[in-house]
Amino acid sequence: MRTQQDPIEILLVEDSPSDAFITREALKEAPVVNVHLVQDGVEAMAFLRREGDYENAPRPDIILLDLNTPRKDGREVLSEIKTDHSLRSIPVIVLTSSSAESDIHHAYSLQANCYITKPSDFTHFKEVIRSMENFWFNCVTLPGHD
Amino acid sequence: MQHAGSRVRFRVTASRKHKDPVRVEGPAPQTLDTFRRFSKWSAIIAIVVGYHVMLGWMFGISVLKTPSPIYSTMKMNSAICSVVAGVCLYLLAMDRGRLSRKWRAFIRICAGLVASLALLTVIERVLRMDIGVDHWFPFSMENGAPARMALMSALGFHLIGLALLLLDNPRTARISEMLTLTSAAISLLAIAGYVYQAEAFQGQMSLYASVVILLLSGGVLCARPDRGLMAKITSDSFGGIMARRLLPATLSIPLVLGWLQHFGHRAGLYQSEPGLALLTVANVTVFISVVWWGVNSLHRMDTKRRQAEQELQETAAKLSRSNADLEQFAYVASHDLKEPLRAISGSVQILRERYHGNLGPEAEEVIRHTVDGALRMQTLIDDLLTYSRLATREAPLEPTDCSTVLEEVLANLQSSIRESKAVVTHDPLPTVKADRIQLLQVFQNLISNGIKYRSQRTPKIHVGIEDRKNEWTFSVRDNGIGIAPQYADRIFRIFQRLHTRKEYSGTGIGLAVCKKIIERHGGRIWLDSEPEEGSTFYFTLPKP
Repeated sequence: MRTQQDPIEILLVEDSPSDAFITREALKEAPVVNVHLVQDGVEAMAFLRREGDYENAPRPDIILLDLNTPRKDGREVLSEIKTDHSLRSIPVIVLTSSSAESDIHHAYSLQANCYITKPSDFTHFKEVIRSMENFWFNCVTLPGHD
Repeated sequence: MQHAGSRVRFRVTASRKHKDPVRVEGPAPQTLDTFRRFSKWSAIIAIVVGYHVMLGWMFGISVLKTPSPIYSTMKMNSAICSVVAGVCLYLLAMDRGRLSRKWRAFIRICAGLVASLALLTVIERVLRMDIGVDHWFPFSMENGAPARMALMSALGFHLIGLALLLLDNPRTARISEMLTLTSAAISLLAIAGYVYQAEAFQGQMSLYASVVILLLSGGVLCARPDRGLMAKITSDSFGGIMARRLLPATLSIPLVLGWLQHFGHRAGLYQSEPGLALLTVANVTVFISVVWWGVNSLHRMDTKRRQAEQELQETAAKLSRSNADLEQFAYVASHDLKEPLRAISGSVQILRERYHGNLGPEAEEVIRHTVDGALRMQTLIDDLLTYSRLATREAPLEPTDCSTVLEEVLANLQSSIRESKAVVTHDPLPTVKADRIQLLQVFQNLISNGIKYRSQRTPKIHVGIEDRKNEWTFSVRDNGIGIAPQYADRIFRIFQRLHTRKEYSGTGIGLAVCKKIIERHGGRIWLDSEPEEGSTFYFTLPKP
């Protein structure tokens, strides 16, 4: 069971460096978070399974997942996480720029916990991140580890 | 200072949606003219023959009354019927729907005369009484007594008269056809009799009369080649082509063969039974050949048509693939174009926040322009995507109730209507054939423009409708700031704006979208406006 003091571990799966930079910046003002950034789907799965370089990686409390990542697509990552017994309890928030209905539908049908379309304006984006944090870290009770 | 917004001017060449297919089966105008000409000439011949018969009676020239003394003569009344019916038919054949009331009345009187005169004669013949019809006109004495039309002639003329009367009334047009066919059959019977039989008999229809009635019957049928029975014969379809080629054969061949059989029998070439057998075989042979020829033609034409259809289907498939590609391309392009914009806009805003106190006021302005620029670019990309979707996301045109569409628009614009205290009114709106989502876009764009470009007065917007014969004309009138007439054309172009961004926000795509949608529906859109007087936007939608 995690306590209030433990920093929140966030896995950010995002291939665009500028989007990653902006997301991290927006998350900075939050309660204490550790943002772990991976840039493609294969790295993301390695991190989650603590393989290779990620042997000592912490288990994330929450995953922010972009859909269009190289090497392994975000949708595949989502599918793998949600079908893996040990990983599927981690809330996955799809954070992507796509507003296509097909993407939204697909994500939810793969059991994404929620879907957020990245606003184009940074101020709005900060507000969205703020709301997301408020909801997931203050309102919601996150599952404990193992 | 006029800031004309972005100068992007490329055209999104999206595919054109097929309009409703042209009806291939309509008759070709040359064919129609040929038929009408036949009508006119039948009428002329009827008049000429009738006139000469009348001369025959007036001056006692017997050849003008009958080709041979053993046959019955064409009577004066028949001649009169012939001339009057001929005049009537000629006028009707010439009429393209533009004849005045007076002429129509005249035609009706003529037809009525023919029908009545003939009818009286029929009654005389059937009831064996004398109504005196045969005395009415001078020069009608024959062998010391007034000459009376044969029963069949009278019937024939009566049917023609009725057919002429009922020709143009849509409810009775088919009856007219039937009557004409009957009179043609009667005259054909008489003519066949003349062909096969040399002997005359009492009460026989005169040869001239039977020819005249046959011609008149054909003439009446051909006077309206684009309606009813004749429409199928004149049409461009396989049926029409077959009919035009086969009907003359079916009309003439039995007659010819029958005559040959009769002639051969009379000339003693064979007895009547073998003659009949010969006739039958001849008929069978001729008809099989004609039908076989027809089958071949049909097969050829059908193959050609199937090929054309297949090509059409392939083109349609290609079109739909190309549309899908365009949609995909537009979506991906807009998606990928927005990512660097986020980087620019976001980074600069982060810059502003991080170094808030340390940057001077000029830096603030620079940052503002950068962020603004990025935001505008994003809106432009969205607008381009919307514009390109007009072509790729077309739905088929279906009956759409404009009042419910308008309700939805007003619901969508609720907050801006409330904010501006706008009053939106409308006439009762019809149901039209349209793409609902696109029609909604048009109304929404026009009404929101009316609200946006408002004057000091409370915005009042009225949606009007005018019912024209072939189209609906919609109008959206506002009391806003108006538009100078010299810009009336420009504003429908994509990204054309008349105001600076400071005065009014927006990229200038709304009216371009409206124009594209209305034109796709086959309508027109235009503007009536004066500065300070408000504007009225008109657009038309064709009726199905």
